[in-house]
Amino acid sequence: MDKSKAIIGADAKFVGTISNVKSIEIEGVVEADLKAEKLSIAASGKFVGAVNCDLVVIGGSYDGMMRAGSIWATQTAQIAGEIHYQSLQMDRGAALNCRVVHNWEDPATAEVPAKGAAPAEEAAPDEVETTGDAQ
Amino acid sequence: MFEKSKKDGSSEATASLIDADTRITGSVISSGDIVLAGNVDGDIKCKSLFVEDNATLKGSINTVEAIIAGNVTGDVVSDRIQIRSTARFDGDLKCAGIEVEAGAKVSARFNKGKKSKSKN
Repeated sequence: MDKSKAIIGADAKFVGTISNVKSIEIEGVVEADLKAEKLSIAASGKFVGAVNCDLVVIGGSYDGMMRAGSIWATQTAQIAGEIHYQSLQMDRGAALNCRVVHNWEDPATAEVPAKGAAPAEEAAPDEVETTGDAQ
Repeated sequence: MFEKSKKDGSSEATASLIDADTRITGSVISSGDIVLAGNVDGDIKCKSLFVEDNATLKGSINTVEAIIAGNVTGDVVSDRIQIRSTARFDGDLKCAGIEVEAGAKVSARFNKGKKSKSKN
């Protein structure tokens, strides 16, 4: 077995917090907040809770707030809640019933500060003024 | 250590592994086996539990078979328990069969029988 790898087996149910883990594989049921480098939720796995992770492979069910660099949702994946990602791969059959936010620049920031939004807002009042003059 | 026959059982119970750097707080319930090498603050209920050399567990254990080679603080209810020489144990033991290797640091109160509630 991989040295720095935690596995929650298929028959295991875990409730609590997990920390300081590099790679974790979930085959059972976990209700926890997790920060890790790699998270893998197997087809039999069920995870509820917040995740902050570099790489996530989801084959099972997930519900919660996820921030990840790369997310790979395989065909058996079922995702609810909210996911923030830098890159997302979705296989045919994967079920996403969640808020999906692309966050390329900084995974630690929830919302992408849209620089393009500011000029657009400036342009809008101008148009209103013009319309007002015309009337 | 663990019986091989368990692998052939109808349920495909994968052993749960908590590696050396991992720290978890909370309870774990499993019908399979658990190998603990990290730190756990909470209760564990499973079939077979193996607490490795440098592992730390604070909480109660309810198992069929338990092998302790690390640090355990808490109560153990088990059919069979083996405390290895590297172990440090502090708590109550309630089990039918106990084996303690020489060198193990054990501070415990022993009760016989897993399910018997009478204290002798």
